[in-house]
Amino acid sequence: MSESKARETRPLLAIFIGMLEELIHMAIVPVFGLACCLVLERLFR
Amino acid sequence: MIHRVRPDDWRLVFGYTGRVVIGFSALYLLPLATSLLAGEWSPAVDFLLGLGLALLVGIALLLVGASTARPAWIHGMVAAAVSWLVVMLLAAIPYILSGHFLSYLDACFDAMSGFTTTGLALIQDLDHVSLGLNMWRHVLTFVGGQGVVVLALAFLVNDPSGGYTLYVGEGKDERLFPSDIHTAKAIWRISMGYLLVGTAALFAAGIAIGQSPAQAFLHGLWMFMSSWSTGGFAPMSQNMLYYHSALYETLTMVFFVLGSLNFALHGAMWSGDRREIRKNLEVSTLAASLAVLVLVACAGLMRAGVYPDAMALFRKGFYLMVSGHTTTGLMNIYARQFALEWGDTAILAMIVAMLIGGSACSTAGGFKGLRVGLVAKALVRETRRIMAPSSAVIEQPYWYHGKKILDDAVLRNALMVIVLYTITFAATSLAGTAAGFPFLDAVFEAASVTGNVGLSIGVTTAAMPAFLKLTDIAVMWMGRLEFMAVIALVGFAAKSLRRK
Repeated sequence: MSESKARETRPLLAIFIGMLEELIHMAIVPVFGLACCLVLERLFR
Repeated sequence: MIHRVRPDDWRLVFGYTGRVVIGFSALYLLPLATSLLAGEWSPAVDFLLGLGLALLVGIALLLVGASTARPAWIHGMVAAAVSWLVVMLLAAIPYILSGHFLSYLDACFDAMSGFTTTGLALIQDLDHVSLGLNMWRHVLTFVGGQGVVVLALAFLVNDPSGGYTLYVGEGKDERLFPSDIHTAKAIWRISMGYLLVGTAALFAAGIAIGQSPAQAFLHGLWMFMSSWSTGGFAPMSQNMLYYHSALYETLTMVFFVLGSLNFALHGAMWSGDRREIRKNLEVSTLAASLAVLVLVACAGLMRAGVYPDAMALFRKGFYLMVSGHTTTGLMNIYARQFALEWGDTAILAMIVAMLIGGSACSTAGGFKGLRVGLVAKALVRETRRIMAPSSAVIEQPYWYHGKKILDDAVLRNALMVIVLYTITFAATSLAGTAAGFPFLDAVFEAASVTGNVGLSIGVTTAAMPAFLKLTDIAVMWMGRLEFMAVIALVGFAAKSLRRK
């Protein structure tokens, strides 16, 4: 089976896990933001 | 290459455009169903009229478009550019019939702003528009994010020869699968998958902040559509400020960051390729530029004492910077607060962020992280070349869906698009100052329009001059299509006029 065909026929659970992993990666953005803001508050207050 | 454009070439363009318009006309069914379910009879008639007219135009274009010419690269590119203009004119019909716009030009502005996922709005009395019209606004921005042509390719065009050029003409030059039609369908599968998850999460957040279930569902759906497509529209005139919720802000932030990523990256993650997100040149470039610009802006805001504590800085300063960098444009402050409170450092950081934008082949606008990353890699290569012996062969590797070597043709293409964006940004800034707006306001709004962002400093209102509205419509259109399709259209039209 070609790679692209394999991608298309991937089971739903595997896709869901991939989606969840992506969401977890993206959650880094607000965590990073909050950490930055806490550091800046300490520096400038 | 076409040396002379014949009527047959135009017929081919009209044929493709007709298929895109017919695919687009199916979208009217969503707001129509919403209006019927909500018992909004007058808006339902507006959507029926819009649907009828779109079908009529689509069929007429198909009939005119019966051609014997062989499809070439340029036909697809020109058709993509023309399709966006035709669907803008048609999408504005329910807008103007609603009575919420002062002119057809304003309706066209909002339609183009929606399709290009810009998010600037001239609509009047937004807090009292029908549910159907709000559905229409958000469907336009959601479909615009994926691409009007992608929609038609996924469901209507079964023509491999013309499909790819139409797809590229829309500013998406990557394939998730060897076939464009499969790629277009994959883009829709990814978006619909996230639509389910995102709407559910925002529905729960809506219930948590006290919305009724129906309101929580509709707001959740619309705010997801707006966030994922990096659009910036919201159902209420106060935009994100309406919700007053850190949870709602954080969730939308995660969704618009996701939306600003390349569809091929989503495809890789969904198929279990975890290393791509960590090694991808575009992701690392965007992460670096976001980190630096956020730090500069937030330091400027904190030093100026604009926000009293870390939480306020996070919810306003950080949120808006990420909203600007991803070219979303969701706002949780009033437009004039940028001009009156933010200060020059934060404003300049925001302008740079808006110009850089999100990822290539995503719902976002701007230069795109990939192009900025390639230019940065070229700088590294040139530095290495200066340091190395003259006989040395310098190769600059980078990771982008596999290991690649920096190629001069790719670099030239990236630089050309960045130069075109910069010229357009300068011209739009000039148009703003010519209309009498202060320099920094004009530059901020120009960056927002050029990058298809949607953050406003207060320039974009129904009262602004008609020439500025027309300029903004053209710039939003060119920016979204990344210039090439528009250049192809201009060249095509010029060759049509040339005498034998």
